[in-house]
Amino acid sequence: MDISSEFSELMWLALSKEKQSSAISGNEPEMALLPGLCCQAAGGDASWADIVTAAWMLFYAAADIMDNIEDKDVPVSWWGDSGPATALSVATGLYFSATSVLYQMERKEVTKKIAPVVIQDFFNCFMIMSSGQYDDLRIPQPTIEQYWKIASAKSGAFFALACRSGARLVLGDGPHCKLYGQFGNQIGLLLQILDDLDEISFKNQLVTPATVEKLTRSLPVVYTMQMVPDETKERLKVCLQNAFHESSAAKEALAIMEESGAMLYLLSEIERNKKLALDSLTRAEATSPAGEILTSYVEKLGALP
Amino acid sequence: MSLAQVAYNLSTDADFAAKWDKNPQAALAGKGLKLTKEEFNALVTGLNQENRFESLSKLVLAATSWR
Repeated sequence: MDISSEFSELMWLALSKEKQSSAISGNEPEMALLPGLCCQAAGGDASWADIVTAAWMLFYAAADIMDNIEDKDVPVSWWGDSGPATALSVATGLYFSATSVLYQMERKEVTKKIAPVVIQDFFNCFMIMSSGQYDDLRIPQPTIEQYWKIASAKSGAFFALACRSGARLVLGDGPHCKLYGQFGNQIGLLLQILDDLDEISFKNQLVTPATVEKLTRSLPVVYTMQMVPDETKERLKVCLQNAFHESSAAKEALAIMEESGAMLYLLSEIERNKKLALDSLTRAEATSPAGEILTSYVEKLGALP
Repeated sequence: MSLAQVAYNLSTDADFAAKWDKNPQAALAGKGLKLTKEEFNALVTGLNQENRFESLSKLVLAATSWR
C-alpha cells in the first residue's frame, strides 16, 4: 500500500505554508543554516549536516503545527477548513518523515559513527520540549522564573539541538560540542524574546480568547504582571483584553509596561543572552567564515535601527 | 529575578535611579539587591539603549528588522 498522493501533497503544503504562521517566521533561512554553519565553524564541511538540517526542519514544521493546535491559535490557511484533526495527521506524518530522514545518517560514511548519539539527542530534546509545552499549557500566568524555564525547554532546547548536532558531526561528544549547544540555546531564547515583542504589536487581525491568553505568557506582560501592584495589574488585564480592537487600550497597555520598566528589562535580557551566545562561540573556538556569520547573526539581534 | 527587580526600581523609584546614577553598587546595596557582573553589564547597556529606542512601541517596531 502506498502513501496517498493527497496526504503527501498536504504534507508538502504544510511545509511551505506553516512557516508563514510560525512563531519565528522570517528566520527560516538563518534557521536552516544553523546546523551546517556550526558544523563548519567546528572545522567540518557544511554539507555533512544536510541530513541533520532536513530532519530538524521537518521536526520543526511538525512541532509548530502541534504548538498552534495546543495554543488554540488561529488556524493556518491550509488546515483552516478541514480542522485540527487533519493538521494533527499531517504533523504525525511530518514527525515520522523527520525520523526516517534522521536515520539516513547511519547510511552516510561521514555521519554513521556518530549517528546513534545524534539520533538519541533528537529524541531526548523532543521529550524536553514536550515537557516544556506541558508546563506552558498548565501555567496560564507564569512567573518570570517559570517563563525562562519554559522558554529554555521549548525554543532554547530546539535551537541548542540544531547547533549541537551540527558541531557534533566534527567534535563528537567533546566539551566544545556543549558550547555550540549553549550558543544555540541563547539563540532560541533571543528569538523567543523577539516573538514576544511581536505579540505586543497587537497586530493580529483574527483574535480569539487564546490570542489574549498567549499574550499574557509573553515576556513583557509576564514581567509587568509580576512587578506591578495589584491595582495596575488589574488595569493591564483590562487593557490587554481590549488591545486588539481598541488602539487606546493598546497604547495604555504599552504605557503601563513601559512605565514599569519592561522595556529596560527586555533590552537587558537581549544584551545578556547575546553576550552569553557570543562567549560560547569564542570559547568553542569557532573558525571563520562560519564563525563570523554566526557572530553577525547574533549581533544584529537588538541592534539599534 | 534580581535583574527584573533592579529594572523595576530604576523605572519606578526616582530616588533609587538618582542613587544609581551616582554609585550603582551603593544603590544596589541600599536596597539589598545583588547583580552578577554579567547582569550588571547587560543592564548598563540596556539603560543606554532604552534612551535611544525612546519607547516600547519603537522597540517593537525595531525588533521586526532583526529577523
